[in-house]
Amino acid sequence: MTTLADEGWIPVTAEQSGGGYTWRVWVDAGQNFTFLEVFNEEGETSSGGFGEQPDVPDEGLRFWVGKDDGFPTFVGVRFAETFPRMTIETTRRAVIIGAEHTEAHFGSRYYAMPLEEGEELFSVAAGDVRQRHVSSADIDRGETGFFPSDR
Amino acid sequence: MKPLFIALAVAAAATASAVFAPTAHAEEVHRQDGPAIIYVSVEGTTVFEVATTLAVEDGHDGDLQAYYLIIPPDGNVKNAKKVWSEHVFKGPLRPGVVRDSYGPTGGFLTGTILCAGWWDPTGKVTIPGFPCVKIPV
Repeated sequence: MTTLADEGWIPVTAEQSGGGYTWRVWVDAGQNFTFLEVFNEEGETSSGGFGEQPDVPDEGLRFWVGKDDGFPTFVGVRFAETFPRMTIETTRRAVIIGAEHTEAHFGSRYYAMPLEEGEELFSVAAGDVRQRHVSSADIDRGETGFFPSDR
Repeated sequence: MKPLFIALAVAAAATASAVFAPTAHAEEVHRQDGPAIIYVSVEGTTVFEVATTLAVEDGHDGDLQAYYLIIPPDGNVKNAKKVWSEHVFKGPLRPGVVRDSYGPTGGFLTGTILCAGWWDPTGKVTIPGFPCVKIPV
């Protein structure tokens, strides 16, 4: 098992821990990928995130959500370093992260946190950008096809 | 000779299903970036299924096609392999979710990154969202 550190990735947050998990956000040396890496108390790991999309306009805010067997749902956020704060809104709380509590790397700041059992992500906001989370994770089985929402 | 051929064919099918059918130990993971999600069923470095969905909240005028990127363990995107799905969704599409299950499967080297994205072959719309998973998860 290799970790992102073993592969030369650069940490862009401090290491955080809670609920039996330890996590940190990383960027690869070529700055093509932003990943969250999580360890549980058994040393098992969960990692993933997003890749850059040069053809997609960058609003200065991007977030990702991940879920592995045996791990809670994690939310990761990248926001422009010029924004003074970033807010993660869930069905239970609003978590406000001031820029001073984060590190600036490559023109951005990063943050990640686990959701509690039964808690769902609603939106992520920073500056004048607010992105609502639209979950379609329930379409997780089945064949290739189109599933209309008005069905 | 015919029974032997049938026996070999059955043996080959059994071997194939043993290699590619997910076991009870397979892990199910998903990552969402914007409206796109990648789903991976994996055990160690053996991937049984890779699929992706795209939420089309307001409908979509053009066509949609999924693609998958396989980035080798060296992380060099110049060495990445892009795999286009064999299926194209013809627009216009009503609000809903499109799912593509033609992602790459099989054995991968430790440290391989799998990503999924969508594009509009008609060029009308740029599709955000490029979630990724590292193997093994």
